[in-house]
Amino acid sequence: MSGRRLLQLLMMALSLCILSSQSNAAEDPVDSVAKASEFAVPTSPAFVLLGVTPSKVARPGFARDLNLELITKDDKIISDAAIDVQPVWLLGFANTSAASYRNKSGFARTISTLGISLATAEKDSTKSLSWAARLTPFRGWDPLTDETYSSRIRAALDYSPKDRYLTIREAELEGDSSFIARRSPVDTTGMANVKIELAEVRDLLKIIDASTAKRLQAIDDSCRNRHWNDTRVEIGFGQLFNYTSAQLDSVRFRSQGVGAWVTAGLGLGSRWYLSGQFKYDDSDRIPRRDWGANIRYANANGGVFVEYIRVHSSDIHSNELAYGGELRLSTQLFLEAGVRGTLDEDMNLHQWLPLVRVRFGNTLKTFKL
Amino acid sequence: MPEETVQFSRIAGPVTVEITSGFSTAGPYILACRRDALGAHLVEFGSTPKFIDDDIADIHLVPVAPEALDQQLVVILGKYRPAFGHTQVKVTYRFQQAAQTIHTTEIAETLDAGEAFRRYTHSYRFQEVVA
Repeated sequence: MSGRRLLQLLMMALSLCILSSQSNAAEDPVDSVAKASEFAVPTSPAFVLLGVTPSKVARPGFARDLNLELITKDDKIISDAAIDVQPVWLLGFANTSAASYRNKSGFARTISTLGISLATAEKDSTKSLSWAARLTPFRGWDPLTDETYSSRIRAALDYSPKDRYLTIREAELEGDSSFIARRSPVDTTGMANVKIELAEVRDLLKIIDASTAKRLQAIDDSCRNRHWNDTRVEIGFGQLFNYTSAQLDSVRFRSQGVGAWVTAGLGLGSRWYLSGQFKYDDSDRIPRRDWGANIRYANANGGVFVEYIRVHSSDIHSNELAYGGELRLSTQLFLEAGVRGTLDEDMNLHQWLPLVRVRFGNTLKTFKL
Repeated sequence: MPEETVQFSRIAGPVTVEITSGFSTAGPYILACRRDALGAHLVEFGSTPKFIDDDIADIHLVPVAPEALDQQLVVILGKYRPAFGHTQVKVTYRFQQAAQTIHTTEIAETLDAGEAFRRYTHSYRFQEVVA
């Protein structure tokens, strides 16, 4: 680690140690402190409305997989079902090739982003069901129409001379194997020889495939990085219901409220991203309106953010302020740090919640201060 | 390797194979044929490279006279990948003769999370339709 990097690390740790002396964070879940709120409509808003994090979510890949059995069993609604589906993509784009997609209207491509989530849960003998829709009416980058991205993917997937030779050889050997198996008596020596060579060819293809997968991943990552701050608008709407009987023929739903989100983000150059969100939620019978704004700066070595959220409901009026960042220590190793505080009506700071955590790839180690 | 039988007519003219895709699936494929004999080599046909996601229509003539088709195998090899942010791979192989579809194979699979692409091999044997 360079001296400059070490100095940055020490400065960040020192800053957090100072802040931690004012902290009374002990009772709060630390994981929610580390990062800025992702100002995006939740991927599966129905789960958020219901307050559940399903361990298993059905994501039907084809229209044939969509059926009532995803949420019912023996004519009863299952209490821990979770479904996430993109109905327009599933039904309207099943026969749309990549070239046809590029020629579709902007409206059709926008509608294809519609996502519907549905979840059921049972808490304290109350059975609940929620559904929600999510749409991205505007996005600055659609990878499916990006010809540069498609060309890079094509180049990475294309058969290299070695791949082409081995792929064809594998098919030839499979053909030979099938030919030998159809003859009587079976030539066991010939079959054994074919199988030995087939295993060798498949081992070599596995190596090529691993390398191809790595290249494809690198292309996806570089595109995500390049377009991380593309301008986009997202909207979401959902509804929560309680129901008494789970029997399908006598089930009655009672609406408990709705939730709605609007998120917009604007890229400023290649390094800055300004985003905002408005959220309305009365699913727990208390109307609550939150809005907030966030500005981030990011480069190859990490990033920083500052965020303000205004929470407004009949009994709560609060302002939250957060800032933090992420520092890349090596290719896989990141130091994440953040603090979130509450401002009262006189704009005095309270309840600073600091957090430092180290992330290695997707593995997190959290340190409470 | 899935091996399928295509029913064809010796007198109805040449056989073509059309490759179409759905869900914006991407990837290259190879078309090849060989004699149905031990040790026979596959010979590629159709112009290269071939991709299901470019703007070029994927219709290819099977380069074997109908009288000899029943002694040949046609192999279609593909490496297919779902569209960015999706998991479905959908590709259809349609054999046609005299403007009639004589055989269809549909690949419709959901790839596992983190699976970048999947290889597919399909082999076709030709059998004359007995009137």
